[in-house]
Amino acid sequence: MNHSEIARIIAAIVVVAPLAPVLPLLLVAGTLGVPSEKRTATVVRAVVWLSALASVALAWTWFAGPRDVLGGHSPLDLRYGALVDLGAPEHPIHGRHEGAYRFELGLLVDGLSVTMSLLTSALTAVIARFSVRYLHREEGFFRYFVLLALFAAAMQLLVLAGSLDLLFVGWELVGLSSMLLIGFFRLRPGPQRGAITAMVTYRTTDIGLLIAAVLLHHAAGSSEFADAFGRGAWPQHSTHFSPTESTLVCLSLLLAAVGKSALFPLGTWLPRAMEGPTSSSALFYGGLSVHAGVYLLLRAAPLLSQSLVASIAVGTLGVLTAVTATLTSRTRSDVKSALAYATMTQVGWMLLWIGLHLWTVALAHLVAHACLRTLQLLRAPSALQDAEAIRAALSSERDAVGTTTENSRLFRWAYRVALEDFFVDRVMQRALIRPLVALSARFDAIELRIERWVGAEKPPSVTPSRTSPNEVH
Amino acid sequence: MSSHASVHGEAQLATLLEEVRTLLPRQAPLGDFLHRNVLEALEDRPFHDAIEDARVRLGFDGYLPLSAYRALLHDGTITARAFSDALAEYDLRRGDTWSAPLDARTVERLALAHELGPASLAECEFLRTETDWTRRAFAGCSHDAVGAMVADTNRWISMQSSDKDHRECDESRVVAMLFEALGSMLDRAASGDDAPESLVGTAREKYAHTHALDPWVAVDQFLIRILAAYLDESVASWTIPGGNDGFRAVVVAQLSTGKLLRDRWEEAARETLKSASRDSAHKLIAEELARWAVPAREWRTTIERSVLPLRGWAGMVSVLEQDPTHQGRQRKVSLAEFVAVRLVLDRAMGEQLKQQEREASQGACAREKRAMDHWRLFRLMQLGGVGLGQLYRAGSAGISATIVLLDRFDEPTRRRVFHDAMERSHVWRMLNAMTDVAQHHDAAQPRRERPRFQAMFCLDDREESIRRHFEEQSELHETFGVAGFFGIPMAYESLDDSRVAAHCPPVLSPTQHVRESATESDMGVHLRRQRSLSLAARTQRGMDHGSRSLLRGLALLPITGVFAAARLVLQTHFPSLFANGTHLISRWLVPVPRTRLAVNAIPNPTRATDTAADHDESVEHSAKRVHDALEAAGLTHSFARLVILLGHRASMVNNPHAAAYQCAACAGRSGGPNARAFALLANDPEVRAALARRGLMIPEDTWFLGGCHNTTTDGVTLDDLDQLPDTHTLELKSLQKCLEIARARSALERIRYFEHAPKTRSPARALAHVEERSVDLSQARPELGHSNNALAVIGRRSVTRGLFLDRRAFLLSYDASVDPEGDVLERSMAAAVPVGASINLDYYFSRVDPQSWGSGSKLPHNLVALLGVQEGASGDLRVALPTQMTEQHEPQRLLVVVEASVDAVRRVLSRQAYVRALVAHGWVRLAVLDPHTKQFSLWHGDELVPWTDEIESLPTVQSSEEHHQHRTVSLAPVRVVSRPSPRVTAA
Repeated sequence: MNHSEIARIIAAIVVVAPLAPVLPLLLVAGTLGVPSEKRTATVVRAVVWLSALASVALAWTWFAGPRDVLGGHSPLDLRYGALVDLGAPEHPIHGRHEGAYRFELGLLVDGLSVTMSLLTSALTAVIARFSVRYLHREEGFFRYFVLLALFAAAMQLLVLAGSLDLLFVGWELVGLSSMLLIGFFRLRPGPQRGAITAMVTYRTTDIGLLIAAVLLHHAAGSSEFADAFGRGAWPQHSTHFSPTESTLVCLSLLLAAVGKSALFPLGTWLPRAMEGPTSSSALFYGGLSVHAGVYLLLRAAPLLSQSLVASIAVGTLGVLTAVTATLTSRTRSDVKSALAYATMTQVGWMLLWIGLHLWTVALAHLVAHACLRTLQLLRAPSALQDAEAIRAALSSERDAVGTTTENSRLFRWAYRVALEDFFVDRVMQRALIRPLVALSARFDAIELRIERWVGAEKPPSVTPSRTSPNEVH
Repeated sequence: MSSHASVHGEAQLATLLEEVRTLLPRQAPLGDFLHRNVLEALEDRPFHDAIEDARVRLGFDGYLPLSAYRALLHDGTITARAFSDALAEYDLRRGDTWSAPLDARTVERLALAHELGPASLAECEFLRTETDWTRRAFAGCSHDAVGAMVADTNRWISMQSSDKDHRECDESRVVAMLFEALGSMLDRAASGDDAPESLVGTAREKYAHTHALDPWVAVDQFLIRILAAYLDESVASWTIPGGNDGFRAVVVAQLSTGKLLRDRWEEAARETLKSASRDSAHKLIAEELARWAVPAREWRTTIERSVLPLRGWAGMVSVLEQDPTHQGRQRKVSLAEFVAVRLVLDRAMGEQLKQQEREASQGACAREKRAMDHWRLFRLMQLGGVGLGQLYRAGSAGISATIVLLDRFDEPTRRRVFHDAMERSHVWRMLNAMTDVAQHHDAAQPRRERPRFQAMFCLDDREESIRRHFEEQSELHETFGVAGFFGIPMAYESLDDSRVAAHCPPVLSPTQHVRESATESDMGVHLRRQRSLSLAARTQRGMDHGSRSLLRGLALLPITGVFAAARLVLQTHFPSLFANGTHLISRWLVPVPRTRLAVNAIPNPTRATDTAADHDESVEHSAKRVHDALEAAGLTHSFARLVILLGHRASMVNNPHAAAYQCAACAGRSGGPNARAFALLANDPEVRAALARRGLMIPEDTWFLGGCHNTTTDGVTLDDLDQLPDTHTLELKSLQKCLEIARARSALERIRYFEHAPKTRSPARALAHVEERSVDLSQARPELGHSNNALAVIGRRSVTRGLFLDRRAFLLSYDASVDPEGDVLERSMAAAVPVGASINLDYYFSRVDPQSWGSGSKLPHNLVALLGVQEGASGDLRVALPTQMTEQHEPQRLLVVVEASVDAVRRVLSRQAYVRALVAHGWVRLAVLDPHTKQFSLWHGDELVPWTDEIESLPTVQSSEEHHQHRTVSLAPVRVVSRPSPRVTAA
């Protein structure tokens, strides 16, 4: 077996291992009854660990592998064959496959994906361990662990995917598990509202990823990163896109990132996602899922370095997110929301680094921040004990905590705007949702009229106005 | 509305709001957690009535679901006899009722034991059209019942039919015929339609009847956000503008900014609030209710219903209004203001919606009732083995009577009767056990030897096991139970916290100021410690706030990220190792000096000071405290050479509810300092002399040792060991050995409740496990707190000694023979009964309806403003106990057993009105054990009556361990006939 054969097997284990027990577990639960906590947790922790070990092995394989001319570690472009292959002959002149489509099952192992894969493994293993005790005796224990396994696989797929098409699969599965865990407590309306908000945001912005894939196919004839971005070590790829193509692809990717990474102005779902168990909130919204958008933009580094417009857009959006989030976090008096906005602040910074093409800085920032925030969210219930301890330790000193109330006009305005999330929901509501609802009502009316005109029986009325104008989320 | 009416309304409102307040939670901010009866304000009515009132007003349950009781009946926890007795008592109250074809008692019995009715019309229709349940016998039917039903039906058919050789109907045919017959009888019995129920309630509730979504959620979120920001003084780094002008002003200020994007309801609310900004909150409420067009008699209901979705927050507002100084908070709030704002916002939203209310379709209720009656009767008849013959003989009149009976015996009533049966079983079990102990105790030889060790514990139920294991080691080990503040109400200033904290029951105010300070020789260590601690605190605060901010967050990230990564892996995978490691490091960085306590009486400010007289007075005062505590415990003679006093505390991480696990008698703090202070006083020669003058002779060679028991880890620490006279060193060694054994066995006993604990018989492994629980970040159940508490015994230890009570009992020592006047008894009951009841009832209600009374699962909890926990980012504040504390609790009212004469107890009840009210209204149940006749009396109706149930003798075991090993459920009491352990005798 040669080097790349081994890498192929290991990489497959990283992605497939956590996914493998999902279907069997569901089958068992559906036929023989829900497995015990112990069985569920053992199986899921075992596969998460297997994936983590494979991930380390994969990193080693990549590190020990061949190097390119510049001395960097060459990326491993691992292909497993095509899922769909609508082949067309190679174009005689520019070499592209006009009108062809190939869905390649391929993984790409380079510095970026190895780092992300290791991070994913480590955090998932930590949370799996944490959850065994934390979720003990909870009604949805089994459901939680199945979703955790699904997420582990999806996230590995997302970061190791060799093409945008495959990344999209991981991206969607991450979104699905995220939504289902926000709605983990099924009997209360709050979590369901939070889950729906997250889902609507995800689904809307995911269009960006699809558009990007289409554009990439159009421009490069393939959405394989290795084909489209060249085969150099990340981030020093070379591409042959026109600046317009690069810009368009990058902006589409940015749209996708806006949803997943809770960037301005679509970040309000993030604090509302804190309805699930603390442990899953930590993993998704402190650790991994929230950084998926950043990863996506990092992956597109070769394109971004060719497009000034897109770089400026990314950087600007980063600054905007960081500033709005930090202002909002100052008004939040509950621990988890404060942490959610703090997360958005740092993600904003990462976008700025990307806009400035400081790829490695952004990646390092991502890793450090994911660890810190996961820990902080896991320790969110400690806030009271911590505050008491601090107060006790400082009790002997005169320590005036700033309770002065600023009351200038500007501050009042800033406070209000920050408290209301910069009114983004409301603007969206008025500019987008209300017209959409009105439009669909109009269409509904027209359809009814036509039906009546052709003599169809009056269908049972479904009034879209059951949604009150005030209630989107 | 005329101005006259308005004035009248305003006057009424103050009273109304007090009534609304009665059902609001009274829990203080979480840091000051105290156990409280959630229905505290209704304690002036009978227990069951209060529950019913709360059910009607709030819709919260006061008993377990029927299925839970059925399971308890099935596994024998509810005895058959108690079940019959409870039902008989209900029948007695119900009076005579006729019902046919099954008699009333049978109907009730079947309705209790089986689930009769579908819950909705839809379910009825589903069962009828989609299942074969109308054609086969009900699953719960016994074989005999089915047989009787088939036989009766066939008999009837053969009587009706002229044809002699008709075919016998089989089971499925009979069942189908029964269903048909009941249907047609119901149609005949139907006496016109019921009047359609009018929909009462707020606009929001009416809207909810016809719409899937609830637009008022936006109002809730707006209110929560502003209220939390207003009350918060430490989490958010910005304070809300205009915060000093009151809550209403803040709301107006928020509504007034950002005009462009204001919603219509916000605009309307702003105008109303602004135009009424000079009016009192009461006036605003009255006007608002008038605008809602609510008739005056429904005001309370309307206010209550509008507040209900934010019940937790409303309660917090109410608590902070009544005690605004909590944790030095400055913001003023009042319930009236909150209600006023709430009503204004609610109406504004309602008007914006302008929805067409759809009328509930006429007669829907009547149709639903008929369908449900049909199924209920159908199943009832099958269970009772009634065939067509009996059914037709009873006729429509009988059927109607049965329906009336079932309606009266509705679900809340059924639950109440079942609950009564459960408590009866419990009372019988406990009194039976204690009778058994009393009988055997008489037979035992009175002991003449001097006790080897005497240990005083808190009366807390969690101390029961360690006491038992300490006693099981030797006949010469004695234990006592006292209220955990050891009779010293003190204001304590610890070495590390210069803020004074009250360590005494909340009804008392501290009389003693106790300060812990480093010894002279260790002053340098102390200063170093203080510097390190304050540096650490500053660093941590800087990191916490910094990591959330824009620039500092960025700057700190490289360091914090690396530390966080290491900590994540270590702390989740190796909690014990991590805790020990950090402990070692912090010991090294933050050294611990030796300390001493200084106990001083809190001076009476109205009197002139005279140092010498003050000193004498102080000694007298201390002597009185020590004397009273020892007398109350009945420890007035035969002192051992070593007497230890163990307060208790609980240590845990990552738990907002940590205060709920501490010593209730010390106001949710540690009892250790109290024990230490007590020992200090009791060893003081001057105090000893004063005690002797009071007639309490403590031998010179008796030494008191204070200490603390950690209920989470079962760790025991002893204080001031360096003061111990050399003559006692050997004894100390063996005492420590005995305590070591006791705590390990206690840990072994209680880990059987933890599913993640190792299945082990090794006490060492058990200890390792409970220690790990206390430092595990992911552990939502560091210990189970007062889970399963059910009994309180006020009497000598001999009444319960050797009884395996499974950590369910509060044990307060009291010796009637040294208290002829009953003063000590009065003090003990006045202190212990209310505290026990509030703990017990907090657990009770949090367990029976965890989502409504309790705070639900801990998992989505989110600390807000350091006041409490909410669910997610904008849910209501959750109060009382989370399911992780109560899930294994068996909810029943506290059974207080007092070992004293009936007359003495009656005297106490006549003097202590509050205790009497608790007993008379059934918030606790009272039994009295006469010390001489060994006869129990039980409170029944409104009097103590002799308890005459049959007695069964208890099984005996050799040791507690023999009884509890391999079992995971709560266990019935057994008698432990201990044989001294060989290890101890060797020691």
